[in-house]
Amino acid sequence: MTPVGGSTLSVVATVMVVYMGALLVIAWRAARRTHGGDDFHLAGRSLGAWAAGISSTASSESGWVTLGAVGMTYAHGVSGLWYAPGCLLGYLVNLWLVAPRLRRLSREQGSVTLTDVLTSRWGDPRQVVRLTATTIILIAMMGYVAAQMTAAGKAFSSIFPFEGRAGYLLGVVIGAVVITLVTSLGGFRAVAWTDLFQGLLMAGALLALPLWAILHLVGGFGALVDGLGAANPSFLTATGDRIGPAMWGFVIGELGIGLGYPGMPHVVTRYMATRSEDEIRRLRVIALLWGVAVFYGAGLVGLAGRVLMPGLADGEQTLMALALRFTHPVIAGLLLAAVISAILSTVSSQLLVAASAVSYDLVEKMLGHSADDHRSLVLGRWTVVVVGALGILVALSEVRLVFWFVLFAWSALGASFGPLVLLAVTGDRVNRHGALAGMLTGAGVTVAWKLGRDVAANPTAFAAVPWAVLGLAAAVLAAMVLARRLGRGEATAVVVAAAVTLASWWLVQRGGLHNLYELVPAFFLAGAGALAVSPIATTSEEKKEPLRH
Amino acid sequence: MPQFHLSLGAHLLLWVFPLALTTITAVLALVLRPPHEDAP
Repeated sequence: MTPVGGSTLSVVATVMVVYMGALLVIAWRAARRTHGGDDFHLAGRSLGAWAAGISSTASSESGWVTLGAVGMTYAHGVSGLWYAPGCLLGYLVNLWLVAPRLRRLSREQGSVTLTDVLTSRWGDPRQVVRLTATTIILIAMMGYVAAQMTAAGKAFSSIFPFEGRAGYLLGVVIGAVVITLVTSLGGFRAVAWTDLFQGLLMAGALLALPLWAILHLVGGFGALVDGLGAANPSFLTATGDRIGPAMWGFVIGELGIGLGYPGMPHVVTRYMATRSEDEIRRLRVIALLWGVAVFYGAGLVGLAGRVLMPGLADGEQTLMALALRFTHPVIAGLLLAAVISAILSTVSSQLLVAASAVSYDLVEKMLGHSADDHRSLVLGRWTVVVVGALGILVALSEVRLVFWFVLFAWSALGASFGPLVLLAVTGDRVNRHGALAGMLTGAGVTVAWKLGRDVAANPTAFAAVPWAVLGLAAAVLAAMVLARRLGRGEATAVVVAAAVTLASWWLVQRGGLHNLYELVPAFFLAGAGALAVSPIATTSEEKKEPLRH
Repeated sequence: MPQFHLSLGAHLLLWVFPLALTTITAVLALVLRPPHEDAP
């Protein structure tokens, strides 16, 4: 990308080594305080406002913010910033509504994972809700982890000029091995502490770099506006050059990114691990200010980069290009560390969620191997190692699908769990059958809508989608019958989810709607599915008892 | 170089929204005192 001298590269590499070393030291200190399963999966519910707050936000903002969000404003000017209010509205809902209530609920239940919260909330005698939730989490998290490892490889290879794919491979392996080691050693506490360190690095970099670049290199905000206007006058409007349905689809879709936050297991577990209500109150301010700094900082980096380096082949490389061209090598190393931090802070949290899903939800809870505290810790550690190794293999084998997959994973998690988390903490309108319908509808509509949007480009490849949905629903029903886990409620949930998924497949191909980001319909249809199925599927026995367990 | 201006929507998106959000959050944090601490 940017030709830089060998001495600059060696300084950047040294800073990177120090940064990776710092992660390992933090993890080692956390590991010394991690003595059992509760520590490993939830840091013994002991986090303060800073660690829980910044960990929750740094976990949700992946390589997407330092690469993708920067690329948005580089490509579209000011109108590329719509993701920022979208994400911040998601923060508001999570911080003010979800955080205190979910913390209280999980403590009352003694729940450790998000799946645990949902199954305890509505009861799960046949383990159907737990199995469905765990499956969705595992598939989405594995894709997400592999995507982030790929992003680490890309960032690395764009800086260090190795032959062929060597830089990419090195980036994937170094980043993945360090973060797998961190997560495996210190569990939740190590993840939260390293997130705090990396989150502060991200916020510092994304505040300092654009302000310095705009004031020092561009010549002030007036010059920035003039430079953007000269490049393209539509860069100075809120909607760019989009009109009609494309404009509405874009704006609603970008705002809709925020719908995903309540359903992210790696985010909301931070609230569950927070020490007290008072810490939650402080956490709100810390997390929100961090979000404003990071989202707007990333946007300003893209805008400044557009004026200073108009000819970049890939706008997503703007931050690294700015750092290497215009700053001192030590600062460039810190800025690259911030880019990698955004990636690794997300990977560690997701590795842990995936590992908790296997070792806690599946092995300890479903299979009933209630290990003692020490064995639970060992099992958790080894699961992290296995999940991390799988992520590396996926990342090394495929590159192009990755960023496509991240948006998929965000929507699938957001739509499957977001409405249920909100319903779980706000009232008694849903039961376990509704929860099952909500999860299946969220995941199903996400896939159908996403593929349905692409159908014009590849109609023959996607012609089988409706049959796949029907086949999958039939297979699930058959498997449930065979496993004797099928009651009237579960069957209703599966049938409703399949019907809504098919309806959404048909709907997305009608005019105009294909502009809409799939999380928006998937989220609302999942919520509606959960609310609709609950009263239909309630048996006479359940009517006698209150829904809350 | 010709003079360019941000549109009204761009002003709102670029700096009015984040500034308002930051200010309201900071003020709420200072004004709203915690009514009680968790029961042990």
